[in-house]
Amino acid sequence: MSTGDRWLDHRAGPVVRPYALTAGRTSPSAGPVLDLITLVAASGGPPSARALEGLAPEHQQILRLCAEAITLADIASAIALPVGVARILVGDLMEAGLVEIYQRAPGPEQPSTDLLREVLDGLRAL
Amino acid sequence: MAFAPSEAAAGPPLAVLKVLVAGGFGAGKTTMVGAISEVRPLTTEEVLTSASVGQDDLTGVGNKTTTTVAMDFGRITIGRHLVMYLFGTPGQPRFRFMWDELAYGALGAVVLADTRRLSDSFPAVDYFEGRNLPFVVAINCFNGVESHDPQDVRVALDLDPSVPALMCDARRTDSVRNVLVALVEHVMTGRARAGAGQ
Ligand SMILES: Nc1nc2c(ncn2[C@@H]2O[C@H](COP(=O)(O)OP(=O)(O)OP(=O)(O)O)[C@@H](O)[C@H]2O)c(=O)[nH]1
Ligand SMILES: [Mg+2]
Repeated sequence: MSTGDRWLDHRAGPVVRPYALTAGRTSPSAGPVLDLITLVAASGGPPSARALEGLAPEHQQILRLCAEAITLADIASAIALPVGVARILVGDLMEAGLVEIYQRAPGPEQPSTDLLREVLDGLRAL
Repeated sequence: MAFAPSEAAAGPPLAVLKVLVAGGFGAGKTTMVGAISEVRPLTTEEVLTSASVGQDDLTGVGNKTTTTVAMDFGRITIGRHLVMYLFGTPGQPRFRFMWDELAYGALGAVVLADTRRLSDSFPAVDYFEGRNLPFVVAINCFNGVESHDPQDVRVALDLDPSVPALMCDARRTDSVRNVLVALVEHVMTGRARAGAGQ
């Protein structure tokens, strides 16, 4: 499928930014739920010119940000769009195989006690 | 496979932690996040119920009506591979929808209590108790009420004896740091206790 016209279809009718970017969708189409601190990264290293071609500017911007693992919250803040919109756009890139989850938000057993000690030492040294 | 971020290539994976800063209107959330981290703009959307429609600047999305809500968003880099994210959220029950997302995978929370309006912290205390999310109560020392006794606040909020309550000045980095240290220690104590009880 050409990625070009998937991003902005015309069925959604007149929607107001920022949802125009998501073709009127208010939740991601599929895939795992991305938490605010889930780290995502570009699947194949820095995006090639070819990968960027045909993508909406916002998708391109996110793909560039994902050259290094980055959280959803940092992406939303960097592109100045609401978290929900950023989540949908990142979901699009995941569906297209351009971005993947680098590390999920920690589960209830995490972070480890060792890591917490490190956090304490780090905080005390601030 | 995703490639590792360059500076972490040889080290352990980047570790991220999430801490919530909750509290009533004007309790000092933005001040607290700003005192210890670089605050960045971050917004989320609220889907409005018909009851709240008409109060805010609205954007129609199909049959859903949303408005944008600003969150306090700060990050503290600890060492090379560790980042603690702080999210400050409005404390009114109307913003519960944000708390669910924020509480998911969170290390814990700070409830900012303004002694002039203690009841504003009830919803946050109830919420974190209900979700078993470790939290500490930071009693913000506004001018003129510094002499407030934490014990009075504990009683007023009906805090479990294990929940730390400490005085703080949300404008001071060292004071906010002490609150975060208390939270991390509280998380560790809770774990040790859970481990011992098994
Ligand atoms: N004296 C004193 N003033 C404080 C302290 N913390 C915050 N303030 C002041 O109280 C006011 C409200 O603080 P904010 O940080 O904006 O509170 P908030 O919880 O973010 O408020 P909302 O986002 O409107 O709910 C500001 O004018 C702060 O400068 C404190 O510890 N001591
Ligand atoms: Mg604020």
